[in-house]
Amino acid sequence: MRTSLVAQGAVLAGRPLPLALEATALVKWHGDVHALRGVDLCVVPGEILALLGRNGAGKTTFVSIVSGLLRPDAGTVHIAGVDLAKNPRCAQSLLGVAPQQLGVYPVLTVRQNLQFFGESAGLSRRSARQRTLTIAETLDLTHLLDRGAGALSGGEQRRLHTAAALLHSPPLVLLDEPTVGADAETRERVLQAVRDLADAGTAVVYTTHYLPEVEALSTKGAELKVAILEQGEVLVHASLAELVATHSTTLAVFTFDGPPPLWEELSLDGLDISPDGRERSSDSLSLATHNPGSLLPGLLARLGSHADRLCAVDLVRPSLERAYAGIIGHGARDTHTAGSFAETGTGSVAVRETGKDPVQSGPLAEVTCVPDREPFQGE
Amino acid sequence: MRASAVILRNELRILRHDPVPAVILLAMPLVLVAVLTEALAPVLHSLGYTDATGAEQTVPGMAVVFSFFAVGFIGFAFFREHGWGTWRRLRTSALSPGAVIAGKVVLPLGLMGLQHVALFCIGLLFLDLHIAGSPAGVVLVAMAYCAAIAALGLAATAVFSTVQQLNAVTNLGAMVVGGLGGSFVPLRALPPWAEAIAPVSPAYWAMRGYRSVLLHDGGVSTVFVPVAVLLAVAAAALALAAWQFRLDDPKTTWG
Repeated sequence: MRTSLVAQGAVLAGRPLPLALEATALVKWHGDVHALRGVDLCVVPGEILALLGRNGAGKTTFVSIVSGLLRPDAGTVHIAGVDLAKNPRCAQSLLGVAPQQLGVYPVLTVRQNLQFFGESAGLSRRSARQRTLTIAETLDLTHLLDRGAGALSGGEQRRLHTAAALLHSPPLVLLDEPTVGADAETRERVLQAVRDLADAGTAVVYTTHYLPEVEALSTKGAELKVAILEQGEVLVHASLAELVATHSTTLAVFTFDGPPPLWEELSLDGLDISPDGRERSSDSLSLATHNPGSLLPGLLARLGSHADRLCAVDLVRPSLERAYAGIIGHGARDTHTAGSFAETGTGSVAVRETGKDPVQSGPLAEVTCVPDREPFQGE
Repeated sequence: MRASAVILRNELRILRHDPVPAVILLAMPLVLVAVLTEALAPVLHSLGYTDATGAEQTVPGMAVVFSFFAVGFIGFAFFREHGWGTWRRLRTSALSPGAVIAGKVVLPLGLMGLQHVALFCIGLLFLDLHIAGSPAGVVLVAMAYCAAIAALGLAATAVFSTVQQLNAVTNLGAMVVGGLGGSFVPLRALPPWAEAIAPVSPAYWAMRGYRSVLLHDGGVSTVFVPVAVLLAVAAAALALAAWQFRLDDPKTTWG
């Protein structure tokens, strides 16, 4: 075994801790498609890494390489310090994988499934029996232990599928879209299990298209990082808080009864508006700002006679979803600028109807701050 | 060894859940032996084996034909993992591919062995089967034939990509290979052209070995050539499997 390089902060009592995952300069071609273009990612023990990106961005290729299903054309993977290429069996024993595609034996009971997956991960028969009971309790499968896996509901099967990856308490767990098709209860069970794992020191790589789910992975004790892949490259790798603070602004949407004023009619000088952070639609103006407290009174004061037609002002808080849209930028879904979130309803804004009476320019108390409405499902 | 045992235990659990195919594999040749033995006695008499009861033909013949179905058993053991989505899990587990493959072959090998034991026991106890030559010769031929079938099963798994292909080759193969090899009726009762091409069938070599021991008082040395040919078939099939087997090959269970 080789002790790998030290991640930032991965130091305990002055001694380096091996990274749970260290992927270095990963390159992979699928025929003519350059799936990964030198990806570097690392995960320290107790950290959750949410891996985001559009379909075809390279997430599944990355997960497949880390789990040993694919060989990279270049680059290395170390799991808890063990080189995956040189010592695959040992490295894979330190890894728990729940692939996106469901993988359980429908003809066996839940208990038999977990027993087998435990033993195949290197546990003794006795340990596998004991861990089966523990993990079944964690994922609310205890009452289903003697039921055939084929007779379970989709959500129950998904929980069993996830449980099979956690049986041997590996230092690194890869969960590839573990809540696809799951109901709210299953989703919360899985998210709670992931939070508990991270709090207990397990590193988790979690791929998903549900961005609110990523925000729900935050725990008090574990670090939550986000990596966004695009065309085989890592666009961003930062903590969730850093990413949202850096890449997302508050969005103020001014809805009018009729066409909104032209930009030329308003003097925006001196207002805190993010570059390119404004959009005019048929009935609204949308402005992105880091400082809504100064923008709103300032703009309301400059509306002049247009203020009579102002119906609503909505604020959308900074979020991973808006940061993601800003980072990914110019894709089909992601060409939506601030204003179009309100129009399409795919974003966080729920447009507030205030009736025909115009909202008078003035205090912020008359402005609503609308919480997230629908979880965003990416492509 | 431990890893293969883990796989074998799981295969046994799956078999316990649905034992019907294995039971049929074991029961069908017993039924056919009971039905055909008396009918084949005159055929053997006409070929000069005047003391034969017919079991000398039906017992090894049915063992050879029905063992061939193990090709499908082995293939299905892999194909169903793809259908259930568990193959990817196995590949990301701590089990080596070699251990997984070995674990999956052991059970069909055991079924073939059980089938041979059951058929010969029934023959000896109830059908007046008389082993004129060396019983060790029977065991050697049976072991070599089962090894060849297991290797052919792995080769079929490696080569075919859909379960329909595997199914067709298993079912038709058992009939053609068995019939051509003289499993249903003695080779000398077949047309000359069939007799001429029979050596391409592994069943021919198995039946030749069994015949030399059961009908010709042959010793172990008389089965050396058939056993050697069957082991060569096994080696060639294993080589093909090793060449063609790709762990990441997609296998289509249906469609």
